[in-house]
Amino acid sequence: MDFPKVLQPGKVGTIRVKVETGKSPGPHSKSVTIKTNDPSDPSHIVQFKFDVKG
Amino acid sequence: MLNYSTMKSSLRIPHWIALLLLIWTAACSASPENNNATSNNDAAPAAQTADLPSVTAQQATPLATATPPVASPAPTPATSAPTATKPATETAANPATKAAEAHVNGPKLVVVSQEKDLDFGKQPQDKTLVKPIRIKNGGSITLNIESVSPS
Repeated sequence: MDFPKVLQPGKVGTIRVKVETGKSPGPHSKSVTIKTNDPSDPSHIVQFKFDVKG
Repeated sequence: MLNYSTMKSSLRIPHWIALLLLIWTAACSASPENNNATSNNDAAPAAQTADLPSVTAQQATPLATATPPVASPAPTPATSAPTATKPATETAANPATKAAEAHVNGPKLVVVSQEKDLDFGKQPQDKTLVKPIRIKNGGSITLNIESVSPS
């Protein structure tokens, strides 16, 4: 994972997620957990999905 | 036994006054439960029960006069009740305002990428995808990203 360690107020950053599609065809769903010092949401889960062609 | 016929008239009147005072104090000191439980076998209890309604009526009169002051303070508790509910609303509002202040003052992670951006669509087998997830610090304090891990 490639992500910025610090994000200043109002700034936008990019987390680069690496995903191996694998061999099994069909829909897949994966997620990453972003842990920050945000007191209201210290552990935010981002889900993403893809469909592997057979 | 006293013989009133032989008693001097000057002594009869104080004796009757003392007797009436004794009955009156007994009637005043008796509780209402005991008054209800008293049987009317003798003339003296009958006299007591006859006196008691007047006593309770006398007590009821002060109570009746006391009731309006009780009723008048009743609006005061009613007014104090909203003051009692006001702290409840304040305590209910305080966490919200505190949360809002913390929301404004603290760091805030916002995922900018939308759901359609997180749908990578059809992908071939055995391929390594590198996809961006855009995030933003929506707060007023520096956001520290401690870790990003697959889950």
